[in-house]
Amino acid sequence: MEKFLEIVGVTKSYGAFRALDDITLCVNKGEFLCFLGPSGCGKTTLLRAIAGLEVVESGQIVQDGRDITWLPPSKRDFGIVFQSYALFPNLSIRENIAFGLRSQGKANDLIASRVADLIAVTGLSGQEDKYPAQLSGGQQQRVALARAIAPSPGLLLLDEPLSALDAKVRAHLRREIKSVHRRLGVTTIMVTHDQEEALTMADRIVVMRHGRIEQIATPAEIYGAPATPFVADFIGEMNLFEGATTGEGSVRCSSGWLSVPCADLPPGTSVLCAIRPEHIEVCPAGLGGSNMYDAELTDIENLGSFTRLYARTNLLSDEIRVDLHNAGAQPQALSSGEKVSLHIPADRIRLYRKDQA
Amino acid sequence: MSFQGVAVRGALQRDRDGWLVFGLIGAYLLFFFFAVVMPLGLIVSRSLHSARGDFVGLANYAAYFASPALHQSALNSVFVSAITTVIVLAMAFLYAYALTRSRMAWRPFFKIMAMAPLLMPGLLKAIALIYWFGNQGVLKPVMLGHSIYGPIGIVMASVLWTLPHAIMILSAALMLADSRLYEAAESLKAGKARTFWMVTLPTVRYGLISTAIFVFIAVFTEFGIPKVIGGKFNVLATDIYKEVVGQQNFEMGAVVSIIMLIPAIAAYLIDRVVTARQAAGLSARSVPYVPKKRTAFDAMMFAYCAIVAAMMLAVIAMGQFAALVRFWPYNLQLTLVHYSFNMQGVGWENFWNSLLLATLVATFGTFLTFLGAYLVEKPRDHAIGRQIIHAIALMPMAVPGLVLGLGYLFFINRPGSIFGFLYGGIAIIAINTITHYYTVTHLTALTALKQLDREFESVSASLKAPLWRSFWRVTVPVCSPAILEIWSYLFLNAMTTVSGAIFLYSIHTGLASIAVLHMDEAGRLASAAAMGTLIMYACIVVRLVHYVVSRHILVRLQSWRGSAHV
Repeated sequence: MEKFLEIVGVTKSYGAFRALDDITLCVNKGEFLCFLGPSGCGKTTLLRAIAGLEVVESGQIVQDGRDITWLPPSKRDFGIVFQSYALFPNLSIRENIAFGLRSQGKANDLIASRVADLIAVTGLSGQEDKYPAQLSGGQQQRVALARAIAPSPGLLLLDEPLSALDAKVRAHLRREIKSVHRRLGVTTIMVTHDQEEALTMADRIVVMRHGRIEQIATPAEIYGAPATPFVADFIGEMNLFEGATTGEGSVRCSSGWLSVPCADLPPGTSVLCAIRPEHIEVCPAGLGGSNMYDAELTDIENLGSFTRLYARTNLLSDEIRVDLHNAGAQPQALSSGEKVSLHIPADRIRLYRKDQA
Repeated sequence: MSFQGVAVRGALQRDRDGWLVFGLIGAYLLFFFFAVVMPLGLIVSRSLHSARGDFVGLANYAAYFASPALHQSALNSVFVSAITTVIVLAMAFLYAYALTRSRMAWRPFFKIMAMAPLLMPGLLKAIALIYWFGNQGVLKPVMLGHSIYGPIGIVMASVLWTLPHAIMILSAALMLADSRLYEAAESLKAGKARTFWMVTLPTVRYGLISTAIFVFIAVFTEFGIPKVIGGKFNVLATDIYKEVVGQQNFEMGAVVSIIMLIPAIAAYLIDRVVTARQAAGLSARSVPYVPKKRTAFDAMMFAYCAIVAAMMLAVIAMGQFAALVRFWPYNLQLTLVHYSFNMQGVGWENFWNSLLLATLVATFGTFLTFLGAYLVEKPRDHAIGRQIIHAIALMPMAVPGLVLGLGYLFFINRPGSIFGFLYGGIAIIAINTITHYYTVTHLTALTALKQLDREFESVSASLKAPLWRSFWRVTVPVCSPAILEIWSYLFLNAMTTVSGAIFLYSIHTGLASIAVLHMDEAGRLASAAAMGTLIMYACIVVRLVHYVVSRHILVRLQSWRGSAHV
């Protein structure tokens, strides 16, 4: 795949705070990449550094073979959509979208036809002569997108573009941005703190924490094989608990043993075990077997499409969470206080060395 | 171990906009150096030198404090300022309370009446008071043998002059009330008095402090009012004038200026701290307080406001009446004869000069302050240069107009000064006036600019649009209400200012406000009043035009804001 944007060893601090700590990554041409992380992780700073809105201290940013590290924003090639949209309030939708085209000095008829195309693509027909404040949040977001892509930039930057919208509109616009991306094929980087957004939209996700990259991978890999306990905990639901390897293919937890392949770890290694709630199986009480534990249900939450169980087990001193899909008959049969057995499949467990966490 | 601790901070290459911003920031720094720093520096320096130019250290100050006549003026200034402050605080608080916390009738009318005196030059108020309470005044008996010429007159005129400002500040503070606090107090069974002490006063305490400081400093540094109505009661401002114009003792003028400047700066700094605290205490989630109907209370408030409004009206009406009466108090026939200004060196050209000055000040001043505020608020780099511009922009408010004017006089009068050519022209008065009112206009522009999205410039840069394009197409139109506000504020102040121009005018640039002063000095009160009313009508016309134009703009703004939020 063709490399489009390369970031090498980029660092930036605000006083003692390291906003970006030696960031290195690569974006392929036409790719949709997401920067994901909690607030203060440096994802927005990184996006703004790519745009030239923040000045980095060291490192290098190369876009399309051109070193842009020290270029001002106006000399770079990108379109940007901000969380606030930053639409020009006194200009009509048409003039907002045409703003960049006018500064390129294009002929009026070219501008008009390009604006008309974009208005059709983003589903804004009939709104051309309104002002931004007369549109809904979702429509404003589309205007911001249309304005950003109007001059056909090589790189599209989206800074939390959906977080100001309500849930329904957000889900709808997710798909629309994706479809615009597919149609135009423009390399896109989106910043978000919403893992659902990242998982559904991105070709690859960059998970960040404390100004560092935790993992870069496809959504499936990020969810299925999180590289660090932070990623495991941050993306989706995860039971995380401490233990120590015994050298006999098992881990000693707070109240019991867990069988898990760990031959590569020396005995006595402190580890974190991770198991997703939906991978734990609920079995009738009294059942025996490998990784089968006696459990008592302490709480049951119906979350619509699935049911979350909280259970006390003879494996852990903490409660363990189990998710059951509501399509099956099992959840309805369970009640709080009931005794069951829980099976934790060994092949679903991920181990992290504590000293590396 | 490594050099990570001393990170190499790079800067982006400069594009055309970058150079433009860089150049403009440099130009502003240069302007401020000549318009603020140098004149003030020269005052300090002059106060430390003898008339022959030898450095004498603090000898001038020693001479000042050795002269009882001189430092009596300082005490006098403190005295009238303190009395006025107390009276204005009480009157303005009650008035603002009535406007914001009662449901009395005629509130819009009382709001207008509170602001009406702003359009009347302070000198005209003083003259009107002389007609009411002077030796031949209508109400002379109520003075019980005391003279209006002196502290009583100064205090009365100063109260009239500062009351509108005080009402404005306090109304704004009282409007910040959070109704939930009152609901909480009521649910906790707190009585009215307790609620007032525990809820109302704490929310407006910063407003009260701000008001007190404003009134005190305004009266402490005012020149025109004590000049006209002060009689033999000397204050600091009249002393500076006497030293400089009367005795040509520039060094002592500089000393008195510093004596006046120091408390002004101290009070101003306190006010900055207080205002910052108040802003920090604001919550965007407050629920505005809506007063309930209380018949007796509303009636009392109405009565009080009616008395104050009647006083304001009486003074304004007397100002106009004084200009029309043929020979007060012997011949009360109405005539326009006083508008012909039959006096050497005074005439309608003074009024035209003032209009010209006000137009110049308003137009160039608006441009200068708005662009300056834009430079402070919007660019991302040149942080230090921008902070210096902001810091200097906040300074002129602490500097009395008389002091700044004297500084300008020193500056352009220095032997070999490259700005000598400005002497006697209208430009120097205009620059002085713009600088004197810079702080308020700067803050107004800054507030408007802060309401714009931080990212307009970023978006604009990403769309490869030059900075001036987003500035002209977006920033200026969206800020147009504030720009108009600044324009009319500067116009009004340029029309009425005395203290800034008193040291700088020449026979070609005599201003209407200064003509009022001179005609008063010559004992021609009716002509002085006539000139004063001309200023007043010019201010009224500008305010009306401002009102109409800003209504028009608001209608357009409304169309951007829209109504249908789907």
